[in-house]
Amino acid sequence: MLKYVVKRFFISLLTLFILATVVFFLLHSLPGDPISSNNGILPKELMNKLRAHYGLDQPVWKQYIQYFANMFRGELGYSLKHANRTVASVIRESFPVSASLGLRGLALGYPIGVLLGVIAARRRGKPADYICIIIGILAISVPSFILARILQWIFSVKLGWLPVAQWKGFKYTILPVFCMAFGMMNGRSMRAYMLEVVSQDYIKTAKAKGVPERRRVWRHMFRNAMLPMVTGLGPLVAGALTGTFVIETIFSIPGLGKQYVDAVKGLDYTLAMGLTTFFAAFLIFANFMVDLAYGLVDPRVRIE
Amino acid sequence: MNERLLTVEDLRVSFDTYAGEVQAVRGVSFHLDRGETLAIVGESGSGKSVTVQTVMALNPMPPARIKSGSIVYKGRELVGLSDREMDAYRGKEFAMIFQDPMTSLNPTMKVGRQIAEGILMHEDISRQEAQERALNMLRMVGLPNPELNMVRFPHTYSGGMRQRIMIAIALACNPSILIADEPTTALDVTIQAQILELMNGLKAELGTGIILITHDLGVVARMADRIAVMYGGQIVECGSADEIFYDPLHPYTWGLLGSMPSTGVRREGKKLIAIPGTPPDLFAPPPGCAFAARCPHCMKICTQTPPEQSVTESGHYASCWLLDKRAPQVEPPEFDIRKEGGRDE
Amino acid sequence: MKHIFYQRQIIEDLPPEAFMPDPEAHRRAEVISRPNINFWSDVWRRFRKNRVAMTGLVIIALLVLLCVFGPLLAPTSYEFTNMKAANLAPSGANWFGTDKLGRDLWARVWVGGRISLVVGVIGAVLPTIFGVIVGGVSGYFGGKLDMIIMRVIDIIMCIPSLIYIILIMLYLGTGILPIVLAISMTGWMGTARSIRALVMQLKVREFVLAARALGSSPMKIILRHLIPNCSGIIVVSLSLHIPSVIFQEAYLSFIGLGIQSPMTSWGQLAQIGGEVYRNYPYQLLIPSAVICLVMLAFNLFGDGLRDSLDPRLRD
Repeated sequence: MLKYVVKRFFISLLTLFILATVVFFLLHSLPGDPISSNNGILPKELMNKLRAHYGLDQPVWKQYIQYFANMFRGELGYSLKHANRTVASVIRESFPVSASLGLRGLALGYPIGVLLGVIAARRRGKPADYICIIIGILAISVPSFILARILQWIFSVKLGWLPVAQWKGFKYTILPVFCMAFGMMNGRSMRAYMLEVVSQDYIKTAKAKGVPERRRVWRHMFRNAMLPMVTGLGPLVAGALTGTFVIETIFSIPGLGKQYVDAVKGLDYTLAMGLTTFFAAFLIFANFMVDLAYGLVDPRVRIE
Repeated sequence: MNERLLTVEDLRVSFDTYAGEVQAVRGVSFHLDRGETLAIVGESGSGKSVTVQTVMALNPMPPARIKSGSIVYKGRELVGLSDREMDAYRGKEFAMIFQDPMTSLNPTMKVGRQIAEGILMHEDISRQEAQERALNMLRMVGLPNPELNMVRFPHTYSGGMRQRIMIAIALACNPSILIADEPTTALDVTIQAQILELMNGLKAELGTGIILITHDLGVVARMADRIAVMYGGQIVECGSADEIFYDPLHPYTWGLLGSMPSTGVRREGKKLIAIPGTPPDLFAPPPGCAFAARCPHCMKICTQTPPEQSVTESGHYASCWLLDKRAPQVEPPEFDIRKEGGRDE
Repeated sequence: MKHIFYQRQIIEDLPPEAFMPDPEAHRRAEVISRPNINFWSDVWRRFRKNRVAMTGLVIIALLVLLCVFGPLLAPTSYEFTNMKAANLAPSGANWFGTDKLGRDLWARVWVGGRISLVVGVIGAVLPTIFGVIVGGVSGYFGGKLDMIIMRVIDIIMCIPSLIYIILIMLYLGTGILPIVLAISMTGWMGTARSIRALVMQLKVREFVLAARALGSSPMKIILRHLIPNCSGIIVVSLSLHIPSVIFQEAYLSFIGLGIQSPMTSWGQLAQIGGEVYRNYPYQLLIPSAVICLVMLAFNLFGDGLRDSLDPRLRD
């Protein structure tokens, strides 16, 4: 078990390293640098000074080595756009926002999605099944930026009940959280897994020993159908916690996603790099946790 | 010891599929007494599994549908009972073990709980007592270290061990009828014998009636008191084990006996006889005898009119036109049958 | 041994010929009673019965027709500006109204639809082809190659694909080609993974062993045996991929990296509408409704197709 964890850890580190390298060179191959957007605003000498200050006048490979040397010391450097702000402080500030939005969305949407899947599978071919499927298809068919805009139009502009944007209190969270949750209310994969489990022999065994349907569904089918669902939970959790670009942009929520879009568009190398590395590290971590959690629910992979 | 447990009369079951109605069971009648083993034999698709799963109400309905017939258990009619009402019978009155022990145990539930669950469903006892009973069951089916095994998960067992656990689950509430659907087909030969011994021993101990489904006549010879031969969704011949083995009446039964290595070739130079052709398509069952197209003695009438049932004085019956007094006399081929030892009487 | 038989009912009036042997019976039974149905026609038959999926197909067909012929019905071309007729609500002349430059929205919606659909289809087909090849090779050959490919995919999948798309778009500039390229470069991993899993299951099956035993080359086995057996999954993943590509294009346009004016796309229209939705909600609602409709139609279609291909999920 320990050996497995250690091995996974090193693979994760290697993954992170390769990823950071790729993103580094991709960013640096973009035309222009962050300072040049001030062309005409700042005098030439000041711009060159700034370049020297941030090390942007060095050859790319030196910047690369410098970057990793800093990262090794646990420094992600300074944002090139926000004066005097470290990348770490940007992450510290925006991550809790993204995480709280994501967790609420997940806590609202995921159980509903799973439940819809169970109901659909139990009432297969009946009206309830179709209703659940239609909700699921709507959930993936309505793009979040459209749902968000339309909800804003109805609840903020027309009815005036909820604020349009910003992130300043519970009232502000309702629309974005619902938008996030709605995309997860897709019970179709759970339905498919339930229907796969339904025809398993051990469900017949349970039926043959007189276990009533309700108990068969929840005690026997549900747990076995959740196994494959857990695998998909890692990326989902990581994605939810690290923010969604779309919803954060539309609702002007100062989360990681919005910071990232701004950083990339503004060629803020260090911030974009730092955020990318953070995203990747988080996703790898989440997948790792899911692997461990999988062992808890599936006795077959539990190491004894 | 002659208490009638189960009587099935003229049972007809169909499956409604997108391609049409599959008449899986077409008028099956049989009965089972206490402490008796009835073997239902026949090739795949002959309707034997569907028949017993209908008795247990295990077929999902729809697509399955009981078209007619009755299933009477200890004087009570079961056809027409709701799924909920059947829950009281399943596990308590009759229990079932399945063909593939590798897939018939819930992989995410501890073995002890799986046994105790059935007991808790039917008896008003505490979880503790149910666990106690489950432990006894494990002991009874001969699992070493039952205490340890209570808390293990099914994936840690071999097929034979799992089938023992299945038997423990099935017999936990001491049912009157045990239905075993090809219980040894998926097991190694040596394990097969152990499982059959176990079933015979428990039958003698508990007085359970057993319906054994198999296509292995060797297994039948070890276990059965009576034998029903199914073909094309119907019972074509039914009689005591001795009658079927030593005095088979139906050409299909002859074919079965002739094609079994354990009964067909004993002597040097005697060939296995294969039955030519394939079973009938139950989407559109033939109007006459289902076996006519493969029968070496097929007559004109066989393909047109279903044969009548001919019954001997001892109750051994078969449905075949050859048994009609107007038909030409056909002698059954000779089988060299020596019953294998080990049948517990 | 002779028995005395008792028959429950005796049919008396049978002619003696009835008991003559009938050796022909075997041959008559050889005639196959059920028609032999080809795989894809069977799928089509099941699909046709699926009303929901057929609705999806009809909507897709209608939208395609509108995109092809719709602009011809508009009063002006999609790029014709008329500041005097800016922000007009839908009317008999301008069915969908006009935008802030006075351009006819009916024309713009269907011209934009051409772009969105073309991007959607190409952006789904290219990565699917690539993913099938990578997944097929990885699954079939296994070993080191497989390990390397899978690690690469793991690494790429560590980051939400929108990040890559944004980076690639910044690098390549805006326009249809960069969008298609960026989306294609990031959309093949899922397909590759599922095809790999399927190929790994299939390659140990008897028919592949038989082909190998007969001396078929690996390429021929992949092309003739494995990929046809994956075709169902490929088609389904393709049809479910198209709406997600349409969404990605719409999102890129939404953050200003997509199609540039005066050319347009559904995403761009929704984005522009989103800027003025307080005053002119129709400019947001119409493109939004069209986007939702096309996503819905493709999802229904793909779902129905999957059910038709996998009868286990149906009744």
